[in-house]
Amino acid sequence: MSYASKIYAVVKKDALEEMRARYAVNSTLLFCVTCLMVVSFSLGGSVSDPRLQSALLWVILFFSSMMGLPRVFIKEEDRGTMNTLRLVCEPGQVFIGKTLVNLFLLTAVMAIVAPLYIILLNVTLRHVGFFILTITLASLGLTVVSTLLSAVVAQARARGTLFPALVFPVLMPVFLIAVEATGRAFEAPSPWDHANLLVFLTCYAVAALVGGTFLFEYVFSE
Amino acid sequence: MPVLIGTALFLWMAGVMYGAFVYAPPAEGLGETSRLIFLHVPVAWTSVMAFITSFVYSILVLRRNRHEDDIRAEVAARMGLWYCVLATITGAFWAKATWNTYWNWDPREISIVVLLLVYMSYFGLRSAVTDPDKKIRLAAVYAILAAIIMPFLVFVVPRMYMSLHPDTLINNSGKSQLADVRMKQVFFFSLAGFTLLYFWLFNLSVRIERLVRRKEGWNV
Repeated sequence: MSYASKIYAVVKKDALEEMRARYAVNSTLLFCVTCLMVVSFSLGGSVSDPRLQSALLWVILFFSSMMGLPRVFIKEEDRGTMNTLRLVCEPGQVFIGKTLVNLFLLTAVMAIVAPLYIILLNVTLRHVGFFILTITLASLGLTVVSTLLSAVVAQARARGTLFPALVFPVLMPVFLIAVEATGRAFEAPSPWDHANLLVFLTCYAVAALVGGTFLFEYVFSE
Repeated sequence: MPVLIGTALFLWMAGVMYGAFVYAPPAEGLGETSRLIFLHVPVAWTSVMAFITSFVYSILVLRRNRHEDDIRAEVAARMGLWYCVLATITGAFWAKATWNTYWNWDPREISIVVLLLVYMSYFGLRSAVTDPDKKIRLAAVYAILAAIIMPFLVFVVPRMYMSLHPDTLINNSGKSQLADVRMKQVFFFSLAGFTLLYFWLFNLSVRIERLVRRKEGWNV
């Protein structure tokens, strides 16, 4: 099998599993919607400051992804199938495959949560393109880092609580810039003047991907 | 020989104290609080130096898989954590004196907090893994990942947000912020003193850590 087809096999395996049980999507989405309801309910449906609106959106998205993303490796470790993966694929293939799986999961969650958030919190979204680009690029960086660290956490104890603590400091730059950029998409007259925010998110994602692929080998191999 | 080095270092640091409180004049505008620069900057500098040491030894752990390298990586991280706490506290007091608030999420404050969180998570991860070989590998991976991300926080984010923090030692204009000659002398004297103190403490802590691990039954 070629390099790409093995990546495809990893993705397909997880996708099939997810189709049968819908565990990850359902639990993450439910958590996300609960978060959203808590925020929307406690604020009574209106926050006028765009900066605050974008901060709340990212808090919800961050914690929701902390629930769903680490599952890709934890489930393999729990079922004892990690060694099978080690036998069949190279580390790079597993890493890219699992990152893609997580990216699909996160995109699905965002596609539902972002519109819901805009409706429930009465947000005026002025620049749709800028907004979509921001969340896409930010979720790319978020996914790469989370996937790598979920492979780390899968081999440790107390995973559930450890994972967000490990991820947050590394993800802080993305978080800061994403909040800023989303706020501009909600309000500013011309967010494209701040296109350097998007460049920053892209650079981060690329750096994380290159570093992650290199480091994953050491996490994965026994 | 160790006694001699210890004594020399003690005298050096005593000299730093004298210089900071008596010899150097207070800076214009800042008054007596400016003397904090002789403590705050060297301590922050040391915490970054410890972070880099830990990063380098983490790479060596992955390349050579030796516990000896892990001892150095861990000790550097532990010292870096304490220096980082000191830098945060002195920084907060200074901010209260000059900006009239202990904390306002200035970009520099963000980056020091992230450094603090990285160190704490690093030890959280270490204590959550039981198998020694796995522990050193995973901890090294985390330290390296954090170091890859650090430049974004230290160099990029402060350029995107307005910062009240004075320019750092290594700045764009290449000029030092210290106007007075005596202040400059004491400052570099203190920076060198803290750097030497770091190496001295590092050496001691590595030896202690090695003994502790032997007692715990590690093969080092």
